[in-house]
Amino acid sequence: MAISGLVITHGAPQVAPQHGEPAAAPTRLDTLVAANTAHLSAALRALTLPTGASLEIGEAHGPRLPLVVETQSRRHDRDVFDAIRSLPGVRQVEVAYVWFDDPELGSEPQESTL
Amino acid sequence: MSQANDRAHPQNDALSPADAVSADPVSRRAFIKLSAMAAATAAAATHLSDATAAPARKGPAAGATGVTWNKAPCRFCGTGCHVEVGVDKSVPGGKVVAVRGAQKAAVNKGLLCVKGYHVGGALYGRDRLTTPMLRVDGVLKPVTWDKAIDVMADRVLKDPKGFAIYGSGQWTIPEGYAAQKLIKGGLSNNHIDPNARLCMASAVTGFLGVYGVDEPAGCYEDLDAADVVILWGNNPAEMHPILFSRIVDRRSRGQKVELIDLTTRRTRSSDHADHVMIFKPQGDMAIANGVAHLLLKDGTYDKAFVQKHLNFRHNPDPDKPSLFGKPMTFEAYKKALEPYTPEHVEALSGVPAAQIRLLASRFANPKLKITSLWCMGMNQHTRGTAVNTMVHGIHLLSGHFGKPGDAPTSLTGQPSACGTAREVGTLAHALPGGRIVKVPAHRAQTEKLWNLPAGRINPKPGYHTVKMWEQFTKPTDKGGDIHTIFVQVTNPGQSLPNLNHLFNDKKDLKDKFLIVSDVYPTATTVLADLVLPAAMWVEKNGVFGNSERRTQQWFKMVEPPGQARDDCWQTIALARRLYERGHAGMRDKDGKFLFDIKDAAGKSVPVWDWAHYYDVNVDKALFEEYRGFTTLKHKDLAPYDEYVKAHGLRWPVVQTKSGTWRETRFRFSEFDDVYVKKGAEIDFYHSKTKDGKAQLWFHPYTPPPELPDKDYPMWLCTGRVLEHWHTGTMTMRIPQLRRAMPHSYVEVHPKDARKLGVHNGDKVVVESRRGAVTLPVWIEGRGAVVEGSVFVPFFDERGLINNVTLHLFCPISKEPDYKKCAVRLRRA
Ligand code: SF4
Repeated sequence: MAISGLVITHGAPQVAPQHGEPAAAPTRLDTLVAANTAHLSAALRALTLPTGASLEIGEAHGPRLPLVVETQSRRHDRDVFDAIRSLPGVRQVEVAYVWFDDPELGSEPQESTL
Repeated sequence: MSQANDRAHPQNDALSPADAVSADPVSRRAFIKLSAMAAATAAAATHLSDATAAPARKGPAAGATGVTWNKAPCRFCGTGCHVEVGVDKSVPGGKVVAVRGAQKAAVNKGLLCVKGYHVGGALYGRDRLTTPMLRVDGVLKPVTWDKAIDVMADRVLKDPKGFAIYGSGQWTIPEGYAAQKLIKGGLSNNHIDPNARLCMASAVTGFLGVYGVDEPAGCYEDLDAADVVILWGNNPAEMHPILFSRIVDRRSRGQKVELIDLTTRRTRSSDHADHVMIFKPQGDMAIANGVAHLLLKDGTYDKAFVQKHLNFRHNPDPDKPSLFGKPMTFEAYKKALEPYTPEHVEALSGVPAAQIRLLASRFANPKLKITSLWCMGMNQHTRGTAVNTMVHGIHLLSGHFGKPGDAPTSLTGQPSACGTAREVGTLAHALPGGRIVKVPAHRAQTEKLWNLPAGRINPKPGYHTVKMWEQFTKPTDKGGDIHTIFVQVTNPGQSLPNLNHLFNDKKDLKDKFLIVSDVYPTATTVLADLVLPAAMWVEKNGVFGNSERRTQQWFKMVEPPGQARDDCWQTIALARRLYERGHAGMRDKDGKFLFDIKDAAGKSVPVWDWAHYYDVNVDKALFEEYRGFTTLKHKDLAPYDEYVKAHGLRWPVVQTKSGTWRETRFRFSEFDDVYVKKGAEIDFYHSKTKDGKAQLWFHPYTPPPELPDKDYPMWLCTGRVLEHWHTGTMTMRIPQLRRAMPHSYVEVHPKDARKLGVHNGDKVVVESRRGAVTLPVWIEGRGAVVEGSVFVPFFDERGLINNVTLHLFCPISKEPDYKKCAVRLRRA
């Protein structure tokens, strides 16, 4: 079993003010962020997950979306991590928590390659 | 109770209770998922770039039994993120079963990058070294620790002058301090150097040359305030991901942060950049001069800052450069820069004149806050010291210094390159606390603090890394006067440049002896005569110092496997054996053992005996002794126990009137640094010219030492990848990381690939005048090289690119250039 708590940061709004310009109106920014979050959440739900895996999306904070991924092994956990990282609009995926109680541990190469 | 559990100290409420992990698999799973969501939600609500405190993590109530959480800095890069390590105590000796980002840590606020995410797995590779092994008739055979320590003592006593220690920026502060004391205070030969010589020595000499004291003035908060971030040959998106996240985070909130990427190849950082300026190898020197030229020509430099805070310097004879050079006038400085017009700089660097003007226009704008970041690209450079001083120079000339967001900042690749190599001074010429062996007063201070007889410390610097390994691999009868090297916490058989010159020859030299302490077999243990199994990371107590002057402490949490033992213990055990066998250097001036460590009652504890090593906190004892040095150059550290309570503190850490300890974020700036003279605003209080001013240097552009020619027509640049850390010793044992990046490769431009007739995955030989390696081709893969150049990462022990690289180095820092040499490619 592998469980990880991830934080996705999605694409910057396209209306970032230039130096010296006043900040964009907050409602517009919020709308864009909300739209991005909705797109991303839909893309996450559409991901094909390995057998027995689940993905739970948390409450967004601006452009940052928490989620929990549960898979049968760390191998699958990493596969899901990579799939999330390559979704359109994903700027960054960071890790807040990882539990690796993994029966696979020891069954993969973990030694010298020399 | 195991020794590890005895020593594990709960830190604070977020960490203390063993989280409830029920035996019932369903509720156990649900609990872990709730905890994971709580951690992720809290981290999402926290902005890395926001100085305010992170919100409390709301999760399931802690209690019951199962897992104990404790804090530690990440084992990998110099960013210095804090992790919380979950240990299952029901496993004998304890087992790391979970890792989460430390939410209260200002560096990472609960987040980790993909390497940090897997850091726990680094402990559990199947081929951990678990017993000392001595090479007998060509084969490594198990021996007892007692025998191993005896063999080491024999090697020292054979000829103490020829025994060297080679360590790293992964040494903890106490480990490096113990090795430093053994070599400089005990053996008096000064032959100690860290692998940090290969990665940040030019940053050190750059800081010394400009400010008279090492390490960045600013801190990570500069990234939260900067309007413009300039990457000088630096790829933080892969090498310091959590730092880079601060920029991504600000942009994601709609803040404008302009990113300018000065680079020789496109990287993941380039993908985020507003401007990518691709320069020819060594072109960075021309670019820095080009910016300074425009600031002076257009009159947009900061005249008041220059007047109040700067002197000018140069090296009149470029063939004999020195760290402090000679003074020059402002007029002479200006004249020296006249040739560096944007068009001339374009010709030298390949960066279009318009982009040079754009870069200069940012420095010319006093309203912007500008932070420059650099790491290996500028340090691994045959003019590393020069280019470091030049980048500091354009910040100073334009007044972009000393305010949050306005900072020239070098980063380190290793977790304690700053804390151990630089601050403890485990370099061949240095002593702890910014002292150097050449200066009689510094030796006297050190002898006093170590209670040594006057004259014990040798005034002659020992061998720097390249020289040390040259003297080791040179036959004794040809002057190779280093007969034994004791390597701790590093892998020179893979990371030294030009391995055929500096390492591989060892195999035919029967009278040379290589001792290697490590956690796994490596390219270095292949040639080792004695292999010592080491404890790593949370298998021992430790203290690291990260890139922003932050000192970070942790406690041992699990037992090391088999007979693996702490590096610090190994050093003390060797010293004790030498003491017992009569080596006079192992006694202080009162005849006491150099490492006489006492318990709370003042009774000496035999810490050289492993059974008693953890009877007392050796780290604390050594750290408190080391603290005595840290006030000598305003690098003040707080007592050890203050670090136990904190997620690191940035030096100078000074005691307030109320008795609390206060860290310093912005050095030399009156608003934050208590050592700045009242009313001075900015005070470079270690100024070489003793007038509170920094030195602004002129250096002419000089071409690289080896240029492509008809025989070797391409440039080679080496470096790293996101998934692997340094030589891959740890990360190649983590299946997820190894699967993500299973082997090394050579990044080739599509046009060059076409010319060679190769496709992705085809094997080619990359060869230079020094050696060759065969690697698969990757066209437009992770990064993108320019036509006529290739890039190879160095993490893979099966494809040693350092057989190919150059060992020429900066004449001042002695740091070699891994970033540019001439090679050719042919189909394998
Ligand atoms: S950025 Fe560096 S210190 Fe932070 S988690 Fe990643 S590897 Fe560890």
